[in-house]
Amino acid sequence: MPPVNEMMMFKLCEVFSESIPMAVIQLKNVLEVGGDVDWIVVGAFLVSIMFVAEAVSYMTYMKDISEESRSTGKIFYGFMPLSGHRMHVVKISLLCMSFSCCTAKSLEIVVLLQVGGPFLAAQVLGADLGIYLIYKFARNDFRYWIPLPRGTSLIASFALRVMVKIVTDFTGFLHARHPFEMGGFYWFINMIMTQVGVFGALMVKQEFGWREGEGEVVVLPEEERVLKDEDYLKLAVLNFALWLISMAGLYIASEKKFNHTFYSLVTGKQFCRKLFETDQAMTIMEIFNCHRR
Amino acid sequence: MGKELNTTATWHKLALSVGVSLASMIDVASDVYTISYYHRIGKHATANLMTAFVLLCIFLQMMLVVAIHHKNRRRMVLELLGTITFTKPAFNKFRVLTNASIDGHEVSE
Repeated sequence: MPPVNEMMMFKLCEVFSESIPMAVIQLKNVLEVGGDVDWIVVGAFLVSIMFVAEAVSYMTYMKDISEESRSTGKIFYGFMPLSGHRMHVVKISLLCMSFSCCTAKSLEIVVLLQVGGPFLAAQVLGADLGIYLIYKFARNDFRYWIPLPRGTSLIASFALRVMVKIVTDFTGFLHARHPFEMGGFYWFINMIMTQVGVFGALMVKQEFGWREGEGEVVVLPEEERVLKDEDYLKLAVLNFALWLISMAGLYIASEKKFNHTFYSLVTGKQFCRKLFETDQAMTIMEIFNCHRR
Repeated sequence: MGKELNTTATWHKLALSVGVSLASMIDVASDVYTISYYHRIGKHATANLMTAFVLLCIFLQMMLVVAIHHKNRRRMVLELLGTITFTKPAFNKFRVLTNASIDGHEVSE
């Protein structure tokens, strides 16, 4: 396994199992805090989100510029300019996009928790995930590319598809637009759904209000909270503006001939075939050695 | 020359790698502080949930290390040590920055 892949898997593990849940829990507490704000806790929340954004954008960057990726996957890797202002614009856009996605999805989940508790949040996340898995099945693109025995392959495919979907929901993980992962088209739709989801959740909250506190759940009256309910909308709008700017930056500054990868409908199998047709010995060897037949 | 630039170990690359580990440690330290804060103000369920996620993360990373390096026991123990001391991100980044060669014991892609 190349070092870049080991690093990516290690970081993905951390983002999936720690950074994302921590960001949601901390955002919930920050939004519901009363007058006595502990600024270190607020700082810790920002550190969590920054960590997610940095980890994900760095993974995308390293995977895209690695020698191995660009030699064996040249029809996909290469959107990142290797020098000049455009490279910095793409890097900053990646960071801002991840930051914005993490804030948006966390805010959506927190608002759903406030309105209907964990059950409502789980239902919405589950439905979103279900639609994605149905899409993959419908396009005959569910099984992951790693060569494994059939049973193991199905279980591993399910686990990996779920993991990548959740990470992408919360981070806008740009590498997920790879046809072996979500594919460009679904990645783009997912980005839009993440932003739309926040406003949807805020509308639901406006309609149904806060749920009653249960057990340890004690909701402070609005006048005692630092952030009032109307501030959520301002936060969502600001975050949406950041996302729009970062998407524009990404599209304008990245290498033009790879722009199609942001909305491509190519499936994993079709991509493998395209790679095969490049007629490069190294690529063909990799397809036979490292991919499911 | 380009290849040499990519594979040479430099102080700059070392500093970048150490920086990654430091960032990881700061992240964990901030999590520990937040957990203790929620225990202090009586939000034990929130604090316990956060503790569970930190432990889950370490557990999954250790499982990943075992899965990748189980064919070389010495390397596996070193990598596990790096995982629990939060220094593994530095080693990972340094290997990426210097295009380290693959030993061959790791599970393939």
